[in-house]
Amino acid sequence: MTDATTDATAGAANAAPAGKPPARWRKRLRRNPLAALGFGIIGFFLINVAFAPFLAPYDPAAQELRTTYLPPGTGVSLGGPDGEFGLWVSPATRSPIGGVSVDEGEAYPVQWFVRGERYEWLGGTITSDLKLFGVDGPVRFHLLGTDEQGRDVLSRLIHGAWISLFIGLISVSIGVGVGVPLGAISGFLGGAFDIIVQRVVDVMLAFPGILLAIVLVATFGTGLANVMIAVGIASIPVYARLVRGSVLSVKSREYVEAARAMGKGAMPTLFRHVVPNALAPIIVQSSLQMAIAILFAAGLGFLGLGARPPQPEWGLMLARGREYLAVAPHVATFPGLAIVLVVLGFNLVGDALRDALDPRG
Amino acid sequence: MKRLARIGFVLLAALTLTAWASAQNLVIAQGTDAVTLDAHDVTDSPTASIVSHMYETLFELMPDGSIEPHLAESYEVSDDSTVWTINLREGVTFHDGTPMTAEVVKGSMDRFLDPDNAFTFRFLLDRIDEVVVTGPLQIELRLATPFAPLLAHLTHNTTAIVLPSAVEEYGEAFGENPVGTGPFQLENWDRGSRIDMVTYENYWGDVPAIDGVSFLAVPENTTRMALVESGEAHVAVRVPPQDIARLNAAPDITVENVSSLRTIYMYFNHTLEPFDDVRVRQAFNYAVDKQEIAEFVLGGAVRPSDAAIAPGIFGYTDVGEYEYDPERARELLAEAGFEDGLSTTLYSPSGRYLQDIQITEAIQSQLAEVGIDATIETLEWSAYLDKTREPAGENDVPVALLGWGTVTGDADYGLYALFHTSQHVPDGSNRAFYSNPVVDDLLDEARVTPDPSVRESLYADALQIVRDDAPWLFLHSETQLVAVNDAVEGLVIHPTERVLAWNVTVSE
Repeated sequence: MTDATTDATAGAANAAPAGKPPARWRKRLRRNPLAALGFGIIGFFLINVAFAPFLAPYDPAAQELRTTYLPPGTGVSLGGPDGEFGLWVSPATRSPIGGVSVDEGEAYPVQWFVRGERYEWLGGTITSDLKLFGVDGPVRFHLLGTDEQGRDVLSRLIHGAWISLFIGLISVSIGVGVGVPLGAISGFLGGAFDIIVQRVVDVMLAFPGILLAIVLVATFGTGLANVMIAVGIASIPVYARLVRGSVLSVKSREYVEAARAMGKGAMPTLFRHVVPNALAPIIVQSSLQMAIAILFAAGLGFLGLGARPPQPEWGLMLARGREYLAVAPHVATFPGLAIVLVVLGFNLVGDALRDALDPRG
Repeated sequence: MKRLARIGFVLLAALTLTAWASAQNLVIAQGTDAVTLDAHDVTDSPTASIVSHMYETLFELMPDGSIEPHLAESYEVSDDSTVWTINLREGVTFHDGTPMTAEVVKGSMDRFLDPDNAFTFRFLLDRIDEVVVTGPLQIELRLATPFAPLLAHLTHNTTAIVLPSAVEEYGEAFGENPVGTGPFQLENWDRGSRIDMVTYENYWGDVPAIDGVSFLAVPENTTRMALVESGEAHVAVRVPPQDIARLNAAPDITVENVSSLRTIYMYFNHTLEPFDDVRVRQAFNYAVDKQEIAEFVLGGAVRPSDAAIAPGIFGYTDVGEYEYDPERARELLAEAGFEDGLSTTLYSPSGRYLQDIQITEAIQSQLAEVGIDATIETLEWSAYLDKTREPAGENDVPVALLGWGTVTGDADYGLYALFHTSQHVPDGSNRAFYSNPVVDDLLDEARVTPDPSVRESLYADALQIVRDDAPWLFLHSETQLVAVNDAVEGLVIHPTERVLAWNVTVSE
């Protein structure tokens, strides 16, 4: 996959060797089909985050114990009872120990823009009950089925997107916020500070990231907030090492020497002239780090160290769904697919950015 | 050359025989491995299942609730109920050949009662002042005051008779080198993975028809079920309710459904507001639809509680379920000053009891309907026990899900430790800090009253008061769901949550 990306951008680079850097980057990105796919996935993900209560047909925590483990699309038929066009839903019930029965005699059409449960949006600034789609009738439409508590899997996935994005953003911010200054100062000043910081970074890098995160969560205690902090801390050494390298390569450039010669202090020089010129690898790393953070958080949720039930966190949903693989494979499959898709999206964008921002291109 | 061939033939025959013999080995898949094989030190039911194949108790609690002499042959109680004379069975030997004598039994009981050993279940017998040898096969248990549940307590698996000389020989390592009188003896223990036992040929009773029994530790539900489906295990315990239908549909597997003596409940911490108010506690009881949970979360495999102990326990009386009545719950909350609802935290284990976290989530959602906003907190099992065990003042757990198995089959074990004022944690197991002097008196009196019918009515009164005081959100008594291969005959799934292979035969 990486090879394909490289080839594609190499071709793009040959076609457009000139131009100002930002324009050149944009052109390279536009010509990379995998980048488009990556941005598409992330865009779709962000739309879900932004419009979750509107897109999700039901409250992600609403349980219905009488309709647990419904397979995707239970009771759905193409065309109404009198041959009408569209999707129709019939009420389904489950017997206590398996076996779903659908009452075919009753059916309601699936419609766009229906009135559903009331919800608050944007921190309560908008209150509405408009849903993108749903059924106007005494029946629930579960496109992706229901889980072990009879909750709508699709609604949980949509609401869970926000949790994943939030985990990614916070932990990347921690990594960037601490790792970048640390690495930059370490590389720029050199000497004893550099040696000490880099040896600490060595120690942290010696642990696989996920192991470090598990150790940190075990120390801080479980919960989503601690997972974000732990995953953030686990990414600090990566940034520190990366930025130090870039700073080392930039700091001997003429414009840096010029700045120093004009009497600028070390820190102003570092943050005005050096760091901005070492930004490209940070941007690339951050998009890859988003993917890693989401994956780590899902892993921690899977191990029961992250989100708490009934939060619709994807890793937790996967872990719980695994127990019912034999009877209801869809409960684990969809959260698993969601994780794969989002991680893939961020990785594709990261790869594409790396190729586009490569100064050698 | 000819001789070599002959040796080869004999070896081959031996191998074939071994292969045939291993086919007569019963394999049981449990969720966890044994913690120790020292019978006196056992605290959990999966370990009790294993240890019960190697050790025996003086009396045996039968699956129907009656008590039969086992290593004891007969017993007499003095008129003032303070001296119990026990005649021991003749011809019983330990796995190393040592015969069981009165001296040995006294040695075993003294070890169990020694406060220095600090065995968790020492309290079962701590009313015994002295064990006296009165004959080669006769002992006397001397008590200061009458203690009615004694016989039931002597059936508890931790009171089993161990060989004191072996305890001395192995010291700390006795837990890995068990020497008992049971029908099976330890062959191999691969910690965390499996325990293999072989039949003890000189067993005093009916020697088992199978050659051995193995317990596999398989924590993952799906894997455990797969083992019994593929035939690698004959028995798998703790079938998830959602798998019952699928397993029963398999041609050679039956899911046995045996009631257990374990009650599942959520207790309210009486030292914390608002749970010092009985109206709030009752409101919780009315707000939760136990029937719906029993049917749809647990596949109908449990029995909603109509008392703090399960049927089948001596002293049980139906004192009435809290019927699902959200209207009544709202009224009670309003009376208590919570018209606008209240918020609290539900603590729950995850994976300890049948569908525990699913039950808690269902309760959370039902509480929300009457305006109780509850968040769920899960902790790893040992941390969970520690946190709920903290003394009053430090204990900030408001509501928590737990289970209690009354494995002696006597109400004293199920009520005294959970509701008596003297048993507040950390000393006992009264995590709710429940305290009612009337209940205390009833429980005390039932302990020293020899007449079973009087005891029964004392417990009935206590259960009624406990029900009305609502120190718990009463949920259900559990059912043991065990998947058994149809080739297995004679397996006992005991209400004390032990799976016993003593009389098993496996057909080919």
